[in-house]
Parts: sequence; C-alpha cells; structure tokens
Amino acid sequence: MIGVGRHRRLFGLATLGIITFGVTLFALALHPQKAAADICTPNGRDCYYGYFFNGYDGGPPANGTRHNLLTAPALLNVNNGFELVQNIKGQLGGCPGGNIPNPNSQNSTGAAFIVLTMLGVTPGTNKNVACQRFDEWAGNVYNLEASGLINFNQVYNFGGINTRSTITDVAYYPNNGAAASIVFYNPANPSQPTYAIKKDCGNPVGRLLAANVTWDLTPDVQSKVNGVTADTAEVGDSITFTFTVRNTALTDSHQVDCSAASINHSGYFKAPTPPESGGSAVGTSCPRSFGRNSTTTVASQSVGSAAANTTYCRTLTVDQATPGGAPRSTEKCVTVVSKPYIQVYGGDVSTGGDVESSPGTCTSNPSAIVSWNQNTAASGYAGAGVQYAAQALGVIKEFATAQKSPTAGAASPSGLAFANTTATGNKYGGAFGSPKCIKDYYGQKPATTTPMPGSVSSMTTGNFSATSSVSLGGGNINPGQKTTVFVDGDVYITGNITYTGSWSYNNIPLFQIVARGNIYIDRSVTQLDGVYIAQPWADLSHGYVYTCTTGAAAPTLAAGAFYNSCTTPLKVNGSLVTRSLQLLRTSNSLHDASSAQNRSNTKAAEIFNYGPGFWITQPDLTTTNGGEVDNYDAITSLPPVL
Amino acid sequence: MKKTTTTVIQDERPQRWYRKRNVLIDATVIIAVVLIIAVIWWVGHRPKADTAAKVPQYSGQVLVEEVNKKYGNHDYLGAIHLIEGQKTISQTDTQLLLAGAYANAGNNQKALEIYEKQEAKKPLSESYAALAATAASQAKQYQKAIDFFQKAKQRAPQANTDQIAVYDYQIQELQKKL
Repeated sequence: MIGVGRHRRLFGLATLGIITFGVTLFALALHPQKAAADICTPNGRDCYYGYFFNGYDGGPPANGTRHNLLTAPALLNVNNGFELVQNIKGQLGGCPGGNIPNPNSQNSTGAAFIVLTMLGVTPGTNKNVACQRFDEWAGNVYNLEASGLINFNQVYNFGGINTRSTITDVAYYPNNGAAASIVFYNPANPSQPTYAIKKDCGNPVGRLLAANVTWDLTPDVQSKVNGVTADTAEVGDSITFTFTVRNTALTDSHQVDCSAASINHSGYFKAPTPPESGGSAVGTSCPRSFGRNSTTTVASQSVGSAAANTTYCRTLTVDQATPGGAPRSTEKCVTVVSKPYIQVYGGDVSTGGDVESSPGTCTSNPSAIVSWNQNTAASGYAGAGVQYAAQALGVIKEFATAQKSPTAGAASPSGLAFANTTATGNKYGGAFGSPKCIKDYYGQKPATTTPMPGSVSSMTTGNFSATSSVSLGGGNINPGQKTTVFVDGDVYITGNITYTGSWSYNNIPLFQIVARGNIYIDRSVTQLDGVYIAQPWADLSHGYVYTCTTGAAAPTLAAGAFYNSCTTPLKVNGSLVTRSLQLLRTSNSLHDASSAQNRSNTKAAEIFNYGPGFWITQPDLTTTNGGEVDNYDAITSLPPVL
Repeated sequence: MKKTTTTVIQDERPQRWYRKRNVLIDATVIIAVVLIIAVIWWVGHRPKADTAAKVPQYSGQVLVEEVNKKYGNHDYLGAIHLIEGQKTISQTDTQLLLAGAYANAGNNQKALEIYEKQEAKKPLSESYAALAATAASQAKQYQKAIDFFQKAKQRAPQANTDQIAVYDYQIQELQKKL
C-alpha cells in the first residue's frame, strides 16, 4: 500500500510539474519578454509597446485587430499646412482649456501622438501636452511649409516601421511598404526626411525624428562714421551703430532673446575675444523671431559728436543662437583718432630704391606710399597727396596724385600714380617699374671740409662735416649762400632752417645736409628749407627721417605721445631723401582737408614745397667733372612734363 | 556587203559543272540575305547602352534613402534617372520604386503603366494596389482607380475595419466622378 501511495505522489508531482511548465510556456507565448532592442527602438519605444503607457499591444500578426491612428478619411484631404493644422486640431477636439476633451478616443490619441512625436517629446508624456504645445507645433508646420520642407503628397517608402492604434495608445510595429504620405524634411539637411504620415490612415511611418524648425543666428554690429562704413572716427564725427542678427537656417527661428550694450573706453581699446560683458543697455526689438536666411536689424544707436581719446564699443548677444544652443556675442569698437596727412606741392614722390651700391644699381625695396585721404570724388580726394606724380614699387594707398590738376589735366587720385592703374577702393596705383636708386650722396663728400659748427646760423658758403652724431641748431641761409653739411652719424635738428631775403637766378641759396645715419627733427621745428638726405649704413640700418622727436632718438610709441606733443605743422621747402620717412606730426586731421585749400592754407601736418630753385641750384656736389660748383652751361626741359 | 549572223542560243542542257556553279551562287545569295537580315535584327534588338554604369549603384533600403534625398531636394527627375540606372531595374521592388518616382514627378500615367505591368506579373500588395489606384485617380482614369482600390480592399486584412473603411471612402468619392 505504501509503495502504491508513493507512486501516486510521484505521478501527481510529475503531472503538476508538467502543467506548471506548460502554463509558463503558454504565458510566455502570450506575452513574450520585451526584446532588448528592435527595429522600432530608435523611435523611442520597442515594437508593439504603447507610446503613452508603454503597454504591450499584443504583438504580431501585423494589422491583426489593431486600428488606424485616424479614421477615414484621415488626412486624405489635407494638401497644405493650414488643412493639416485644422484637421489635427479637430481630432484633438479643439483643445478647449488646453486639454483634450476625450483623450481616450482613437482620433484624439492618434492626433496627440502625431503632435508630440513631431515635437520630439519623450514617450510617456501626457496626451494633453499636445494641446498645450499645439501652437508651437502649428507654428513649426507653417514654418516648414513656408521653407518648402513639407511634401503633402509624396509616394514615400517607409522602410520597415509603421504605427497602429489600440484606441487609447499608439505603438510602432514592423511593416514594409510605400504609401501616399505627408513627408517632412530636415531644415538643417533638406534631403533628409524627418517625419512622414500615411495620408489615408494618419499613421506616422518610418524612422521618426522631431520635425522641428532650426535656426542659426549670428549677431553683428556695424559701424558707420559720417554715413560711411568705418571703424575709426575723427573728433566731431557722427557714429552710427547698427545691431543686426543673421539667420542662415532654412526656417524662421522661434522667439529668441537678444541684448545690446554700449561701453565707452578712454583711449584706444581693441575689441576682445570673447566680447566683454556689462555696459549700458541698448534697447532692442528682442525677443523676436528671425526670418529664415535673412538679416534683421534689432537696434541702432548714434553718437552725435565723437569725443577725442575715446573708443566707442557696442556689444550684441543672442540667446539661443541655435535651438537649445549657447548664446553668441559680438563686439564692435570705433576708435576716435586723428588722421594727420601730408601734402607735396611742386614736385613728385618716389619710393622703391635703396642707396646705390654702384651707379644705377641698388637693392629693390617694394615700399609703399600710405597716408589718409577722404577718398571720395565728391571731396576732390582731399587730404594726402601730391600735386604732380607719385611712383612706388609697393602700393600707393590714400595718397592722391594730380592734386590741383588743371582742367582737362590728369585726374586725381590716380591720374599721375604710376603705374597708371585705375583706382580701386583706396589704392591709387603702385607696383611700378624698377627701383629708382638713391644716389650715394655721402660718397661725394669732398676731400676737404670744414668742421661743422653747432648751428646753421654759424655756417657760411662751403662744405662742412662731422664724424659722429650731432645736434644742429637752426639758422638762416642768405641769398647766394651755398652750404652742404656731411655727417657720418645722426643729425638732430633743433631749430628752423630758413632761406631769408629774396634772390634771383644768380644768387639762389642752397642748404644741404647729407647724413649717413638718421635725421631727427625736433617737435619745435616748423620750417626747414633745403635738401635733407639721410642715407643708411652699409648694413642697411639707419637712414630714417623722423619729423617729430624730443631728442636724438626715435620717439616712443606711447598713448598720446604724438597727439599731445606734435601738434605743430612742419613745412619743408625743398626735399627729403631718406630710406624711410616717419611722418609724425599730428596737426589737424583729415576731416579738416579740403580740395579748395592750397600750399598756403593747407591743413596738412607735413607740407613739402618743391620748386625750380632747388634743381637749378643743384649742380654736382663736386667738381670732379672738371666744372665748377653751381656752374651750368645750359638748362632745358625735356618731356614728359607732368 | 554580205551580212553574217551567229547563233547564240543553243537548245542544249547545261553542262554538269555549270549547274553546280548555279547552286553555289544561289546558296551564297541566300546566306548573304540571311546574314543581312540577322544584322538588321541584331541592330534592332541589341542590348541598350548600359546606363547602369553611369549612376551610383545602391541596393535595397540604401537605394530608397538615396531616392528620398532626391525628393527632399525636389529633384524628381534625378530620382527617376537614379532608379532607371540601377542594374536591378528589372526587379519588382525597383520597378515599384520607379513607379513612385514617376508619380512624385507628376507623371501618373507612366506610374500607372508600371503598376499595371507589375500587377499583370504578380498581384500587387495592398499598399501598392492603393498607390496604383491613387495614380489612376490622378491620371483621371477613375474606373481603373476604383478597380485598384477594390483590389487593395480585398487584399487588406479584413479584420482591419478602419482600412476597409478608408478604401470604401475612396471608392465612394471616385464613383461620384464617373
């Protein structure tokens, strides 16, 4: 009996085990464990799991007992953004009070799914959010439509994913096919579909990305001085700042904030990177939407009269520069400067050649002629320039030629700028020919000279010399006096050197300094008559002329050093020959220039007046040719006459 | 002058070698004619220039994505050119993709022809039958459109009453236009 009972128990246990195993298998078959990932997962939920509640919808077979997201005619009659917005709003029940009246209906669930997934909202979000963000969604639709990023009737191959409704929820499921669809494209990459809805059933199909708009905003501040784009101004000029934002994306931006500020600095200030913060707020039209692929002005501000020693800076920041992105800022500064300029009358200007090593041979030096000119035809190209010609191996920039040219003569600014190229912007010519060598004047020093006295006033006719750097006081040169000074070193000129009295062709005075070194002109000097030559050393150092110094040394470039100390103009009646001319006078500024001015009333900081008296009285410095100093046999004029 | 005449026609049977030569000539002519016909036929039926090599070759879903890119750029003719240049152009899937491209380009008649051709080879699936119906409707061939929607309806899972209702709706709308 005991044995029979044991067998019965064993049989019972085995039966129970088999039943338990079977039930477990059945349960697993009915409700398979969730896969780690499948074709639907990139859309935010695994296949067959509801978007809203993450419930399992029963799984395959596809299209078994499930429903379309929207009942017929679904979106069949939708052919534009307005119809789509109206249709979806209708399916949501109109969203009274920001809620869906019947959130468990098939069409409301489907419509909410469409709105939320197009906005890229996380699965599990309450359906009512579709109503609360409906305007944003509708705005996106209109925005994308206006950019041509929606095709309302496209045969679209949806590549393996479809959606279906369980009335209260929506799930993705594997399904291949093609259908007439509404297809949305990516504004950042217009060839990429981001979202598609099968029109006859309202089912979103394929790999779904948020069908959002995008924007890419770049702030900018432009400055105009007296109506012309510039980043420097002169005292008294008017400055206008325009604050703009450019959107380079294909869609309009959402409401984006921006802020502008003004910051004025004393002295020179360079706009830093990143832009500085703070300052006084400037009113803008932000927050606002920025139109696709366009530039919007958000503010403008003017400075009526620029003050000396000031840098006016303006900043503009947009936040967010891209959807969800960081702010972007920019800063623009306009520095108030003085633009002193040079004018040359009665002669030409030439650059490019060094001192000759042998007759006619020298190092090429592609040096430029650069100054400040008003650079407009209306102004007559007032400002820096030369009455006749200019030639340079480098560029001729804002230095007009043919100033004061007679009617029908060569036209300023480039008429006599060699090479004869047409003015382009502020470049009037240049890159002309081969180097025009500077003669080795110091090499013509006579064998016999008199030691140089301390000032010109102590000199008479003759050749003087010094073997080291000297300081030279000013003085007068009398009619008929012919004085040449040779200095093997630097010369520091501390006073005016002036031709006095009146003279005729047979008693033209001449004063020349030939320095093998630099020439420093003291800031107190206002007039130099004669010829001033500064030759470089053999190592090509030295040979500079500085028109404003406070000693026998190159001036230090410090804030205000020239502006405060070099305000007296310098007039040179004669010529300068130098390796490098450092024009340092700061008398007046470009805006004081006028084409009506002449050599008598010019506002130039440095004025050069050349005339026949200088070349008539310029015979060879020596008598090596068998003649005598200042003893021409004949003088004639040969073409070209400029 | 005395005229002389020569008899040039002789009532004699050709000699053996002469008959053999005639046979050879006949055979040559026949062969030449056959060759000419063959050449003409070949010229008319030779394979078309291989356009496949002129466009990038893609397969399966990659081709679909490339076509979608063309659509995104509104380059529908480019999409057609790309599909027609595929070596797989004779395959059903590619043909159906081509039909869609023609429909997107606005050439619904051509799309319909392709769908009909494929339908004749093997019945289209529900979704492609619906697309054929849409193409027919766009081409104003409403009866054909109704017929294709009927086929789509028949081929749809009958339990999907929503989709059945969609087809019924579309058939109803088309019947108003007949």
